Amino acid sequence: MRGYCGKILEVDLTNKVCREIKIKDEIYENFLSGAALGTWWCYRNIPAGADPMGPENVLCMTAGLLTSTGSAITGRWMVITKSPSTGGIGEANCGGTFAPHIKGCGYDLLAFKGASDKPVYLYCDNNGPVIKDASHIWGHDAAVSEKMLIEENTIPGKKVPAACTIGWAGENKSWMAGVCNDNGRIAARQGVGGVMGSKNLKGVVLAGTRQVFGYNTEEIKRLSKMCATRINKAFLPPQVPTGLLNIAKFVPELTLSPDGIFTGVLMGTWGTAGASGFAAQTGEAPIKNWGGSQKEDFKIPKINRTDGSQLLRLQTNRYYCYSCVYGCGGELDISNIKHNDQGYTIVHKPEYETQWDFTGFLLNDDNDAMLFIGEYCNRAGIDTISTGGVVGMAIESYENGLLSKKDVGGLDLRWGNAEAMIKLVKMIVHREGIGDVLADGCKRAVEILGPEFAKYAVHGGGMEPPMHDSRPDPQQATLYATDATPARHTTGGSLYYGCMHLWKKVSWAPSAVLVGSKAGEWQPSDEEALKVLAASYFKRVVDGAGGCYFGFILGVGNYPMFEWLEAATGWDKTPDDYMYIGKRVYTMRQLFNVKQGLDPWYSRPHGRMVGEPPLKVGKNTGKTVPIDEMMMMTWKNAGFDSETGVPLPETVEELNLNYFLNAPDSEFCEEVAVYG
Amino acid sequence: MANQIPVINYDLCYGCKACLYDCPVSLFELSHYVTRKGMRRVLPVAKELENCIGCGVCARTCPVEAITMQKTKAPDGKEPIYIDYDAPVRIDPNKCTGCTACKRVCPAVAIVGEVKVPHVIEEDKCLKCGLCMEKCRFNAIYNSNEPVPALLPKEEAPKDKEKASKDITKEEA
Repeated sequence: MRGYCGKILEVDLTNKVCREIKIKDEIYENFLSGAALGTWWCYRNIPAGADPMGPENVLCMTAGLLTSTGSAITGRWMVITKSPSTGGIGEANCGGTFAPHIKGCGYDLLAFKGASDKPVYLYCDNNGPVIKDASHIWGHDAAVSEKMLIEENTIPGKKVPAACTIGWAGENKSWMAGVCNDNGRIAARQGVGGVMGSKNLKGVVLAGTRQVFGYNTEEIKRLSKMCATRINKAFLPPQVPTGLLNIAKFVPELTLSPDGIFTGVLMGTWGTAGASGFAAQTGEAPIKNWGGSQKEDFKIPKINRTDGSQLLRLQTNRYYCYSCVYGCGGELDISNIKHNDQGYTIVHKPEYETQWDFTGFLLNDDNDAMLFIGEYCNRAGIDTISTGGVVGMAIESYENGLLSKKDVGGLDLRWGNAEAMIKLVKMIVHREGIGDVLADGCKRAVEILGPEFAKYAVHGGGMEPPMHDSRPDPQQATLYATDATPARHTTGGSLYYGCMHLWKKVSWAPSAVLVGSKAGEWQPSDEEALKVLAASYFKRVVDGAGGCYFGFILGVGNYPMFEWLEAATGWDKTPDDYMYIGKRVYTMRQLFNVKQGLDPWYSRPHGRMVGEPPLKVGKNTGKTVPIDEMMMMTWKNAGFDSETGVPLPETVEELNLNYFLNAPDSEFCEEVAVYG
Repeated sequence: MANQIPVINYDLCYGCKACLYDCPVSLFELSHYVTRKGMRRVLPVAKELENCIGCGVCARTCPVEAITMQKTKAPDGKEPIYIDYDAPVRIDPNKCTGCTACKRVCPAVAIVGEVKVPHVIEEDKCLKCGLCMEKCRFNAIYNSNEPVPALLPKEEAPKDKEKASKDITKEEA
């Protein structure tokens, strides 16, 4: 075996038939597995112009090539589909514990096509797949649904199943809905949960026990132990305050390239939530819907009140995703917080995104409100990044008189009003009143409300951006603008490029100095473009392997991705070869968007994301990113037309994509079994 | 009791739960644990070791090799069957009577075959737990890289298979 199962399960929800399809080795050798395999399947099976919320769309759930082979920090699973919010390729990535169960059933990918006429779920074990009725589960939140599905499918003495589900937001077909697993982990972005809801697919329950092997298990384990040992040594006691990081605000603008293990220190000690105070004071965290600053709008006392250390006081234990030796997660006891009208008790610790999105981003310093909203969104199965973005748009519209109190259902929707924020989130989840307008994101809301709302609707190509300001980081802005899944920070390296030390293994990746001036990053250049592309291609490799973003930023010296892939597959490829696969996948994703009719300029970010106009107060004063030139330079270096962003024919031919994307199914696929 | 059972070295274990989620009988559960350094962790613990089938998946899946498999002895003192994990488990069709005993005991639904028809093990499902080998009364199941022999005509089949076949018929009656 070479780490992958070699099979896909295609589930036809309209006709209630499942097909087991064997996939040729050359697909894995040219794309890997995971997100790349999902994108390849989606390209070939979603017709041009398909309605993302209609039966022609295909929803894929996939695990990576390295998952279950004995490698570390490689337990991510991904959902790939055509996104309703962008109209292009949609991809969401999640940790938790679902990934190994996909391969445990003998498949690398589950592909759902069509739509059921009533709520159903897929169950699969060693006897094969069965589509079962889910009417009795529909209407429950994601965590309760998961528990019900596991209980009704548990057989004493046999493997306890794992499940993923949609919550109320997915059932209501919100374009911000995600797919949940393990009591609140969520594949959140790009409306993948809404697509699942449009198919009346409530959940997937997996209980297979197939084993997966790599080519050289001994070598895989040796690399895993090396990785774990390094992470274990880079550790701070949790008593060390997160405020220690705030010293960074005194550091002038520098580009830094320390060994990525220092990110391991941060994540392993505090999790991502520990970064909020630091991010707020250095200008990385956007404030007041991207229009404010830490100097005027959310000052030090409030930043300290909402700092990540406040969350750690409630932590009962650390949480590790499947195969992870990092443990950036945690579980909190929120039984005694205010606003908890749902009786939540032990919950997943919020990530930085959730934490900042519902505190400083909306000028709220009530931590309890943020904790409640975070868990409510997990249960509802809705993306906190997009929800925070659309709430910011609503608040700013209200504050500036574009929305009246009557329009927002009587809420006093002001900055920092925690009660109003909570009620609005509930209205969005359940599509009540103004919530129905906001439930599909900023871009859709502007289409319904009118163009005067556009100035407050901060998005890139239909995606609300994460809590990483792109004005102080031109590489980040370029990533948001040029990736086929725009306005997302986990699709590439941006400010973490220096930590990854890719140049030590990849012959063409630009090197970076340990400490240097950041000024040069605002000048469009081939070197800056290649940094963005190198990180993006590497992330395609990591997503094909099932790796985690926090492993990715650990760097190639600490997270031996190329070596693991070699040990798992025995293909005799170099790091440059794997990066070439990354380039192929990157180009394929852009081709998907072009096929679906998107003009690549569609993802040019909202003016606030690139400093058009620049802020006049705060850490990001005067910063504007020359985004048009950055986009064109990146496209040129990617082998795309620099004016249009469309992959050049010679690039497509060189990567053999005409063959892989357009040759008949018989070239790559063989049906081996039919169920139902 | 299985031929081998897992032993976890908690000084090495990170709590990544690979063993917990890959175990085909969900032997492990999470338990709160305080390490010698005073860290609060949630780590896997085997619930009831007698339910372990000895497949060794947990040891193979652990990224940091915190689990070793300890050989066991059965209560009656007999040596249990030990498995070579580098070799597949297969059925000799010339010895198999199709009694379905192995099929019924297999935890992975890896054995296919109708009554009185020689069974086949689907190697990609097989966990190599050895339960089928312990159950089989005809020594039809072997653990080696030897290919599955071709099915011989009935008159050439081993004599003890015929006898066993009659025993089965008597039992069913």
